[in-house]
Amino acid sequence: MRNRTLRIFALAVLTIVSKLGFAQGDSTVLNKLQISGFFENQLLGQVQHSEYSMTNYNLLRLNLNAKVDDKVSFFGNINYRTFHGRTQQNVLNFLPRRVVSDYINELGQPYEEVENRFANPLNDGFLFDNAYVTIYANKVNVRIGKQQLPWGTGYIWNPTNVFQARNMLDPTYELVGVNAVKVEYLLSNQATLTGVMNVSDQFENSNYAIKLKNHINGFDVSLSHVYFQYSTTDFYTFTEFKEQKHQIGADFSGSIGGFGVYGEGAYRMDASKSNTTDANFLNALVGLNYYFANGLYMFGEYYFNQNGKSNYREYNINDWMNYLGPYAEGLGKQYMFYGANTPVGSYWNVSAFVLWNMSDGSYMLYPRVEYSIGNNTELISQLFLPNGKANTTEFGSGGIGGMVRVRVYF
Amino acid sequence: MKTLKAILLMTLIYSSQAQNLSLNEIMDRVEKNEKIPSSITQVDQTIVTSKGKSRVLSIEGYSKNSGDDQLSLYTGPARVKGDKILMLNGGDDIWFYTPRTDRVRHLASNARKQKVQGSDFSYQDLEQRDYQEDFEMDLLGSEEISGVNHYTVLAIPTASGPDYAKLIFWVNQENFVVSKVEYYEDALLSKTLYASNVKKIDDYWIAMKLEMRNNESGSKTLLETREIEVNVDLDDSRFSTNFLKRN
Repeated sequence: MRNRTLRIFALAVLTIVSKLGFAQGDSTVLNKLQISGFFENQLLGQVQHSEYSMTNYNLLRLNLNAKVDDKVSFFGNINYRTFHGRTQQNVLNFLPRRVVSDYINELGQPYEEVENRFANPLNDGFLFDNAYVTIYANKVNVRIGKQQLPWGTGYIWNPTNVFQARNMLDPTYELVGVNAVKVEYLLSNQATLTGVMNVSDQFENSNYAIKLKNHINGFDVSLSHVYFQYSTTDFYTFTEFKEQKHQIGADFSGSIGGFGVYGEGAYRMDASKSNTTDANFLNALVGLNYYFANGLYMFGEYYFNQNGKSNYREYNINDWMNYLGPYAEGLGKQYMFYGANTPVGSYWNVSAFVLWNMSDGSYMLYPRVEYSIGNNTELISQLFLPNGKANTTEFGSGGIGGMVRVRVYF
Repeated sequence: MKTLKAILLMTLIYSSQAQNLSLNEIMDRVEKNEKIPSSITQVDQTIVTSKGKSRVLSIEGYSKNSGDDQLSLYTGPARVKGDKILMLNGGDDIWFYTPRTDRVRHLASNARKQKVQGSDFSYQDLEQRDYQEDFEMDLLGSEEISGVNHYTVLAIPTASGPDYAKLIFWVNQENFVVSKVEYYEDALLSKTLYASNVKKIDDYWIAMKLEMRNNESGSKTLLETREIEVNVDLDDSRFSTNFLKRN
């Protein structure tokens, strides 16, 4: 699959370059094709179940951007990453011991046999985050290829977005693109009707979304409908379940009394007859932010996940694995997130975040410092300080850790 | 000799006109300079820290509806390239787009107080002012700066104005360009803006260099206009959230 993607990417680059050459003459090809990117090195250290480990990666990202003409542009990037340190990882090592022991007991198989099924080695290799062509016609924009689809107004969670989930502990990091066709029809300067098709193995298994966005009385408001395949795995039987679901969603962002307010909600309904998981459920969040005159920015989000568990004793292996899966909806039913950020001088930025699982009482405190070393160089360091009932709760099961990341743009 | 006479005559006319102007007339003339129907600018933004270290960012600016609608596109360095800021309705609505996440964020109204890309300019400092509406003003007198007479105007922001306790403007009596602004938070002088390198482009006197000094941190930010085109034909669609995601 990866090789096929690489070939498609190479073909797209060649097509664009040849078109540029044909249209403009060879001497201007390089002027049209812009190359940029970044090099990133990240060191992550953590203590998990009293065992200390470190993982380090190098990431080189090469962006290719070509504005073919006024109507067509191309953007793509090639990422190559090498991993070092603890590269042989196993998901079971990161789960609460109670959940794992209950699981092994119920399965009735030796741990060593089960463990292999949860191996998650970090392998060196190429990765595509994006590779797409955008065509601009009068009132219609069409983007075809692997692309980010950042739906929703939430900072940590985006209930309306079934295509991509953020890393809750690093939500502003670039998301891996989704292979899709996106068509935007511009109803007015502020109103857009967007349709998305996320291609799967069969027409009926593909995901389809439609969204109407407008700006009304100072608020950005969206309504959306998604028809998608919701995949879950039963790790007791190692059976994958796929259900078609409808999702009705809405989001907004604006200001009331100087405060920034935003919210997002999605109601998912079973569209198939299999009815293997909780058929209908609501995911919603509301957020508030405020900028103080001294530069301090504070924000908070409340998130409700009807499909989550209200007590940590109910967490089982399936909940954890689905939580670590593509939707990342959360283990608990209710969460709060608090954040504060302030610039210190011109080059420093200091933040502190708390992610609190209200359902099991555990929380993660993660302070973060960003320093702009140079015009194109940034250094980020972040601590992970979990707290909660050990070996049972969501964050109480996590280990203390720290991350240092340096990124150089070119 | 004839030229010298003409200059003297012009100066006398200016002086006599200047002395007879009411505060509203003065600020109307200021607005006439500032409210350029539409423009495209190439600007270098240099941020200088209190320790003298500097960073330069390049911005392509688009402005329409007499400055009420503004689009800033960061063209360099690579770290911020592609970031866009859209300000509509005189800064009432602000959106920020970054290609890193391909996300458009609608900023809260009080985000106007925030620094723009780490500079000493806040969003509200870059908004186009409607002086009569945004301030209650008082003409304090006149003062000489670099050999040129200036009106000094005390401006107390109204509800639609910027979030400062008061501002003091120094208006050049010859070309009606605001040469200096002091920004006060409570009783403290927090920032001072200096405008220089004034050029006449079409019918507008424009300060090509703006320097904002932050009196609290000791840092400063320079906005130097390299190129400017005025009264250009700009499509409304450029000033829309739809446009922000366009490569």
